[in-house]
Amino acid sequence: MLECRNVDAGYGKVQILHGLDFVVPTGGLSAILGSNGSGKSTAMKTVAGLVKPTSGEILLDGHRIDELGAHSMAAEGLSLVPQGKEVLAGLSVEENILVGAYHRRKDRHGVAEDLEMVYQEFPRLRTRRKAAAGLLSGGERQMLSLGRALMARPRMLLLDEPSAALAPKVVGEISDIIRKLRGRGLTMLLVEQNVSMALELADEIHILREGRFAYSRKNGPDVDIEELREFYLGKGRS
Amino acid sequence: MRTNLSLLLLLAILMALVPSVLQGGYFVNVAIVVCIYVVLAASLDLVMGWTGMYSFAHAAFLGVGAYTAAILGRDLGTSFWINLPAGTLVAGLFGLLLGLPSLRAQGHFLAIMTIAFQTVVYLILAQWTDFTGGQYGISIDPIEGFGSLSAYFYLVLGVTVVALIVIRLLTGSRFGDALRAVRDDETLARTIGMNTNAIKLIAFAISSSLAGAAGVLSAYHIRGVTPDDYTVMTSASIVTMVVLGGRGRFWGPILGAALLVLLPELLSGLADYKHIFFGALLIAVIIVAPQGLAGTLAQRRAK
Repeated sequence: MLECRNVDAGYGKVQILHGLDFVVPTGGLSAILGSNGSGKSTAMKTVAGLVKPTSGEILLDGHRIDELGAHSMAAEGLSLVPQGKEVLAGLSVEENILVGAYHRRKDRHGVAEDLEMVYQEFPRLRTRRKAAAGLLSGGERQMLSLGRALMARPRMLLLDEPSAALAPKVVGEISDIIRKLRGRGLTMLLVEQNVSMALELADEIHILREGRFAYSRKNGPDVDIEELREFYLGKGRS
Repeated sequence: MRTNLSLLLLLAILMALVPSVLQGGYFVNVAIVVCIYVVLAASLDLVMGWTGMYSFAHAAFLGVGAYTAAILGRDLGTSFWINLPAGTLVAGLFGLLLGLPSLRAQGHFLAIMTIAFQTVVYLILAQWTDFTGGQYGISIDPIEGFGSLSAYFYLVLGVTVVALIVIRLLTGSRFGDALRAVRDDETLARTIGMNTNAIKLIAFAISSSLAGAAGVLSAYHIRGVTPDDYTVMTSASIVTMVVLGGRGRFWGPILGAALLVLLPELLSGLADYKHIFFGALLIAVIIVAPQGLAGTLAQRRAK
């Protein structure tokens, strides 16, 4: 379970997030929607430990993580799939996947098992395992990012705009994978601009505007899509 | 990894034949200088090629190592066998110091800070006359038992091989993966669980300590130290060697250092214009073959 309690964060004197407060229950999937400049990426970076909150606290399964720093998050069970399908371009596909298990140095057997699991999940990565990661297509990079994140054996996955700059067909494939991971009990926080993807996957939807939640509802058939659009596009009350 | 190390040992054996095959001190002298620059280029590549941080301060560590040996020898009368590890250690500590700005600045900004660091070290060596001997420098006595040039060459060759094996083992390990991850995407490296600050500091410390060892070797070779051997021009030459040879590849800096030491020797008319030649070469390589010789060769083979 991820809990963000009244989190303020920003860069230097510029405050971006104002009192962000939400919970992602264990096994749940919450989505944060927002347009450019709404504070989505800052929210993600703050949870991932890349930006320190100026006040408030963040807990993973009841344990404070906001003071640890990004490099300790993997060991805490929290894995980030960064925006922009970032890969280590100079390393091979397989090296990129294995680097995800960086903090599990003593667990050789488990790492080999998980590598096989990633290859079964993403057969395309197996066929390209020797290629430099910089040569992959956008969809393949997204799969590589997911595979690498899974190598950390996370309890919680942070997905930063997994649909950005991908063809609709590939977005469908990524959604299928996310659904499958959910089925295995992974807790996930999804940050997106893609409203339909969020509606399809999430239990709870938050809309971020100017660093505050303007809208927070349980997802379900009764969600008024028109109302959601208005909040998202900025016509609604904030 | 095995092929690299066997090839390295084979090369070292061939090098070891230099004093007996090529008569005369000249060739042995050149071979010593090649070895010293191979250590310098390969150690700079740890920071530059593997971790992606451009440093124009490598000659400063060369100087710190050399002066540590010279000052210890002068004031405490210590032998080479104490001065070599001491020079290595002190240069490593200075490397940590230069590593600190790398935690805040990147790319060009970091490169500029390394030039400033290099300049400060040079000025201290040149101006702190009581301690460093100023422009006159400090002279060094030959090592007992290694008074002959060829004996000293074997010593230098041995240290070079050890340094290269250390570099090969480091870059082939988990730590090498971490270096490349920092180079390709530092933020991503952090989220994977790498302590990127510690990794960058360790890279700087190891790289500069090896440069310090090279400094001790060169000081005992020249039998003295003077500040003008440790200027930003020397640093830029080492950068050129790494770029020409190929960044982030085991053989790249070795090839680059050997070529750029040997070329001015072969074309003796070039020696006076060495730095102009190096500068032009650096620009040409970056435009035509940014991967360097080793990188371009590897790409050809892959096709």
